[in-house]
Amino acid sequence: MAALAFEELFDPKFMESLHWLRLVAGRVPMGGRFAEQRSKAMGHGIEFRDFRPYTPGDDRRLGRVFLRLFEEMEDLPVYLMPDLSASAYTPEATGPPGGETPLAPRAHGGLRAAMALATIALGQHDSVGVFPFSNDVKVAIRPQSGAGRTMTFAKVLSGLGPETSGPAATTDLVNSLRKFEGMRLRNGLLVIISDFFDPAGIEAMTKALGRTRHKLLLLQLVRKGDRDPDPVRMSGDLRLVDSETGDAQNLSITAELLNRYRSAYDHFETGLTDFATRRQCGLLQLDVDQPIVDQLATLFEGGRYEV
Amino acid sequence: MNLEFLSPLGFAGGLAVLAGALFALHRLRVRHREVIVPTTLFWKQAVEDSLARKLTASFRHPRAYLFVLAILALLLLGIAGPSFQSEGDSDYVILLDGSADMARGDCLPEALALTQELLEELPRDHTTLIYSDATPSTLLAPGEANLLFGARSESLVPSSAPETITTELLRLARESRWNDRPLSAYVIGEAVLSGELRAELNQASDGRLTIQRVRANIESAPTGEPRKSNGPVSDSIEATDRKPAGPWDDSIIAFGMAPAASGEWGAIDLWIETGDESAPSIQGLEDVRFESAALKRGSGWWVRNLMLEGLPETLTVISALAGEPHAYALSLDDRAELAVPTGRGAIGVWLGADAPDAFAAAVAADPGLFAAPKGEAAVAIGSAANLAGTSNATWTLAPRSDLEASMVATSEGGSFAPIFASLDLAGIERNTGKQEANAPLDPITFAERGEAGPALWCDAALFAPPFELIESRSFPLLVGFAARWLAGTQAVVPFAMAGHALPASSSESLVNAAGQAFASAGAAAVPPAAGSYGDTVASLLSPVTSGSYYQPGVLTNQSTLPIPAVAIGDIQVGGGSALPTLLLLLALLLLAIEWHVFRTGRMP
Repeated sequence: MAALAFEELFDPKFMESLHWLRLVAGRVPMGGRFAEQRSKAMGHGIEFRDFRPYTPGDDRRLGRVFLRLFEEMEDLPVYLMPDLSASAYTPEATGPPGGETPLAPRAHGGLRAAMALATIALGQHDSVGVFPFSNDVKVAIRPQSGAGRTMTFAKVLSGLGPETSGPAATTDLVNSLRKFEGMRLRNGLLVIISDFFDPAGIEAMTKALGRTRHKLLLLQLVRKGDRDPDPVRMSGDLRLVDSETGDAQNLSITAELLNRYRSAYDHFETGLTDFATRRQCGLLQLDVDQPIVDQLATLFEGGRYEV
Repeated sequence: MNLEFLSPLGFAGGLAVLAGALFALHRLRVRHREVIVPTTLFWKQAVEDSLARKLTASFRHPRAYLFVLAILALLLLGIAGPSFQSEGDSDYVILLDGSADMARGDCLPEALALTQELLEELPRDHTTLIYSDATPSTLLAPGEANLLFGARSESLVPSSAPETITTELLRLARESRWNDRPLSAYVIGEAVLSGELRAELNQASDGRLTIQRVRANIESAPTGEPRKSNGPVSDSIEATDRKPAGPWDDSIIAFGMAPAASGEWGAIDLWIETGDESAPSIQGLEDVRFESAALKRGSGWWVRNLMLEGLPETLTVISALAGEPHAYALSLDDRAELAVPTGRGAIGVWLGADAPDAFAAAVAADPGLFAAPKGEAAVAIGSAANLAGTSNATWTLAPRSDLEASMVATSEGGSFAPIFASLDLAGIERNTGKQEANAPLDPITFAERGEAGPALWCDAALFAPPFELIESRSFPLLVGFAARWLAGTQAVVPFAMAGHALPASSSESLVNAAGQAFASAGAAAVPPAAGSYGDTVASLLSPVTSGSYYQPGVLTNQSTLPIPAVAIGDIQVGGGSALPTLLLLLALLLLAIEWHVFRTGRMP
């Protein structure tokens, strides 16, 4: 499967459409570099924040019994985890058998979303790291900041693709998150961009997601046919081959079977939604066949996404 | 093109079979289209759900299964209605009358309702229900559900036949003798059941059969007082207890014939009994004159001196009400038929010099006999010396020492029944030789030989003191019947009552011997029996009637004692319990437990 072209990611129109969107954090953890997000630390900024009484050790030359505190402005670490598993690169198509129209892999939609979020974060001097995952997590770009690095991100993201050697990469979010947590990165916003088709099941996934100490934003890559399979293509006697595991399932599609399939899919959706509600994290279903920025914009109410 | 091993038809047939088989196999053939999907996770879950509902899947719910099985078993057992019966309990049989009588009014529907009620009272596993029409059949065998009775009785209609209950009772009595369990018979319907019948059945069954007549309301049943009734020659005929008190039958009740009371040889008298006051008509005989005879109920009509010669083979009498709607009547009551006996030729009798004078008087008194010269007579009577050289059928009066019995008959291949019957009719008792040794004067013994005949030998002493058989008023009857038997001519049946099949063994034998189809008398249209006619006296040429269907001797002059009826509520039957109810309650309890276990999540 071909990787996403650099031009598709570093498109001036695409970049321009993102300028009005901003990521706003409530309080970023201390220890970051000077940037535009309010930090939990109080220090030497120019914006007054609070008073505090004098305590021994304070500079007494001021001759006052209280001190003024100012906001400390630091960066928000944004960690992008695009899904590069085989399911995200499954060759999908629309139309009747024999007259199919191929569809772009859903990973491409995910990489566009990652590029958009990286562009937004870099534009407001936040640090951004890219950690693509499938059955394991990798470091594509270590957290770094600066609007000038946008092209670098576009190059790296366009160069990402599925494993071409060895068996197809399965989705293993549990393992990937465990590895990612092991990197001991500064707390920030973890954006997981995936179809979440983890063979371990929704329960195992949400359990692993619940263990992370980062703020979470889940971007679910979906297609219309995920819940309601195309009645033309998905009819009759089929041998369904799992793009990740290679397992085959012989089926005779019936209305009853389709109903049970929908029930299983709804159970998966409900599990994800319930987790997001419980965790109070963002969850956005991105239809990979539709313009990505427009859908991302729905996340940014008034152009701001409160982390 | 020729086919060497198959005909074209065989080829076509084989091809059709192959086409069918291949079609069936192709229906089973599946070719899967391969589709690569991001994940089969949800499809697998969907399939697992469907696999769970397959019969071939492993059995996962033993507890629920056992619960349901137990509940169903209890329900089934409850519905089956188990009851405990001990070995000493009785078997039961219900005899539902299906004779022509049952078509009157609401007799049959009422009897069916009564039967249904009785079935509920009796233990199902030991109860047989027999519908006793012309050909009795079992409606419910032991163990069959009572519910089946409704379906099986829907199409029941009374048959045009006399009652057969008594025949069935006889059969049951004989069978019950060999059964371990006693048998209780409940009779529902219009059949006449007499005390004599019960006595006979009791003897036949060795006391193992009890009979009860079932009525819905016992208070309306008649008391068991002795009842006597007279024959149709009398002016009083009592209806049997089975008839309702009101107008109960206004069509033909009885139709019979007798040799003409006027003595006219070759003539008969007809007796017709109707329920209404109007004189009936006889088909083809428009000019006959009906003499009315007063009866307590209905009307009796004589048609006198009807000459046999020129009569049709069958006489049909038609009620004046035929074709008109009338209460308590059957359309089949409107007509009655009776076969007419053939003509009566007189028999020439030659009497030897040794024959007592009483023989000559008897011959003279019998219009069917006449004194004839020796050469022309069909029958010769006298001593062995008198009869020497005759070629006729002979009645020899011989010394007792020459005979092995008081009376000896010979007949080669012929039947002795008619002469036996004549003795019965004459009131002469027969007995064995052993009894004679003990009581030499009484009774008269009788023997038969399979020699050339017919011929008859009699102890000459029978016609002298102390026997003086010639003084008996049955003597002329003996002479008449004996002469007819010897001559080989038809013995005219004294009387045939329509609705009765000439049941007495003697009469039946007479009919059979004569080759007459008297058994069919009235069979084409059987009026209900008018009553019983036991109180009659035998005398030559008197219109002796047959009695009720089951009556061992028509001349026994017995009164009838009806079998008392019993109400269903009074029937005491062992067994039966509330077990079915308990089982159903237990099933409900189990159902509640199952529901509780299910609700508390301890069972899938």
